[in-house]
Amino acid sequence: MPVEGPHRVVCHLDDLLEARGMTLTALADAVGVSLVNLSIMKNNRAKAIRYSTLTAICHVLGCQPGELLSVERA
Amino acid sequence: MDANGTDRIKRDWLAFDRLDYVVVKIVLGIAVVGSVLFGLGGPVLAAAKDAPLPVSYTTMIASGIELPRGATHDGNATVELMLKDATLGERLTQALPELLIAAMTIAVAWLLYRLLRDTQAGEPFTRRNVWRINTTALIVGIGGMPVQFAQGVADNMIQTSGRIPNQGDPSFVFTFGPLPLIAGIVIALIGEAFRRGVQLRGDVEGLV
Repeated sequence: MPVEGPHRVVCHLDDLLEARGMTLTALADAVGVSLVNLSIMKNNRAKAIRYSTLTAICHVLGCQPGELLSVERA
Repeated sequence: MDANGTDRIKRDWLAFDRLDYVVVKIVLGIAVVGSVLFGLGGPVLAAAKDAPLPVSYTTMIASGIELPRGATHDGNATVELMLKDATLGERLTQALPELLIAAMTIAVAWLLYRLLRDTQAGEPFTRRNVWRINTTALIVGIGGMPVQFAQGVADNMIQTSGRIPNQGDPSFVFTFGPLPLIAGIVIALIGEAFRRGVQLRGDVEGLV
């Protein structure tokens, strides 16, 4: 699959937030990332994620990157 | 931090500020107006006044002419003839090279103006701007060829019309100066840099 093709990464931020009873706004405040960017990520419209952002989200949610992101089967 | 304990902001003198954008736009405007005046206005005015048409004419030197001491000649001389009662066709073909230069100048000025506008708006890395830069490179690099061809057609048309002594078969003289080609290549490289910039922008756009 060429790198230029569309990605199939799915973000499970919704499920993780629901399981923890947390809102996106509260996560944005805790992580220090804008609500707009978290919304882009949640709706699978992000093209890339900084390791620092990933670290902060996983730290706040107490999860691993694999729980936050997965690759959909082709 | 300077001696007074205040932060000193270093100014990048090469960076464009508002005045630079205004000055460049004025220069582009002058180029467009000049092109229209000289490329289009000149020939139209000359035709309206029925002014003699200046034509470049190369002829053999029949008899000895005075030359600076130690100088020789190759037997040919190019003179500027003033052709009276030029036909509309002759005027049009003679004006064609200047019209082409004017058209290319206007095209480049327009492309640069649009590029300038996008850059000022903070959106320089777009596919459209890559196309604009590449088109500019093409015009600057090889735009001289159609002008020379048009000049050759115009001169040959006059020389084979029977109005002036025919100097033989029609011929075209093409000269390739390295400078426009190098300038074209440099501009094309800038276009390639912009193309990479478009890719990078696309990568960064969805970064969270």
